[in-house]
Amino acid sequence: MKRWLIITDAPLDEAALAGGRAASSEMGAVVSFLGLVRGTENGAPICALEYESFQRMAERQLGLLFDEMASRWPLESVRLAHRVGVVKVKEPSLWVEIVAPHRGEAFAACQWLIGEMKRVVPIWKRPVN
Amino acid sequence: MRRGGSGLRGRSGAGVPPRWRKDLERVLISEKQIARRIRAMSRDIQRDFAGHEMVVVSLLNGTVLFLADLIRQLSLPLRLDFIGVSSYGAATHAGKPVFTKELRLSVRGRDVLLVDDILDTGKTLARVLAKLRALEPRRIRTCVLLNKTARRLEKVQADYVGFEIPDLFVVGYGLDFAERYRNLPFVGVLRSRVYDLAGRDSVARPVTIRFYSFFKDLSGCAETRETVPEGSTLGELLEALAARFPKLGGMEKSTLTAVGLDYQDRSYVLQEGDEVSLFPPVQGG
Repeated sequence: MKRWLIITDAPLDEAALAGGRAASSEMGAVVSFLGLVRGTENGAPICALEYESFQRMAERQLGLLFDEMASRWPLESVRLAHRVGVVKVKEPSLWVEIVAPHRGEAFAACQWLIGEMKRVVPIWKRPVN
Repeated sequence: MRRGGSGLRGRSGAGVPPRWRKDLERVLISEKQIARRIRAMSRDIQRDFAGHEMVVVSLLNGTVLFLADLIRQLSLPLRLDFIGVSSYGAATHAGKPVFTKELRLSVRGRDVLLVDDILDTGKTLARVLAKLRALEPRRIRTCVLLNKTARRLEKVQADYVGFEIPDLFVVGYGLDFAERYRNLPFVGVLRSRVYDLAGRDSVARPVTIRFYSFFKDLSGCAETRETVPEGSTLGELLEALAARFPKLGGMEKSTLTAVGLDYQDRSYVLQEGDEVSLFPPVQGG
């Protein structure tokens, strides 16, 4: 399973990320996910979220999650980009792409990865008013 | 299909190199005896595993010398991986095993040879075996250099045993006391005053602690240092920090703890120079 990962304070360029896709002829499914910053946090309006990461540990923990994905599903590739720093409302903070032979494993792997990421990958956010 | 270990007849008595006489009472198993026994064990293993590619899973750190000598004798295709597990604090009592490195290779449907240095209380092997069985290998065989049945607490047996030993504090050939003596080419008996002394004379160990997210606000700093007695656990460090930073103490239950880049639980035994990170639940995405 090929893997690619970036934690960056630069804006996520969805088109450029999608443009980097490589899928072999055996692959029938690409699931990608884009997470956006909502305009409210706990019911109160905000103008941005500020993300902080413990970058080396975040990379290590994501690497462990990728290892587990490789053992659970027959995926060809996983790519993930997470933005840190101040991210304005409506801008993307997370991008994930899974390439697999069929949609079942692609959806399942994407859902699982994001769920686990929110449990173990050391990234935090605080609202900016 | 347990294969009995070689009995130890007589005492090697002398034979302790002068450099180690201060710390060691005697040589229990000589370099030559180890080499001979490993050749015999590897013949048994080779016969039992013929025809299948095996996965050798070795427990860190005590198996380093044993493993190197053992697999050199195996002319079978094999893959090698390690599980990091630490069961002793700095004192000699066995605590709860803590995993410090996870398996990376897949063992599902595979023939696994689990290698450990010493089968003592059985706690470590029982815990590791349960973990491995959950991964559904085709079969697991266990191989230990030393079998000490006197302190056994768990119902565990090894399939291949190098030597049956009495209830002595042994070091060398990979086995340590407080991370020392692993490099001895033989297995020796540690003088009791060495470990008695170490138990009393607890050495201070400085560790670095980093805070993330709003824990920085609660502690008022991004980083601090704390000196803890040898053998202290992460849980004990948290207690010491709670006394210094009461607001942080209020968050004890939801605090996540990591050493280096890996999560560790409260029973982790701190090592000198450890970089500990404390933070609230994560919220990426």
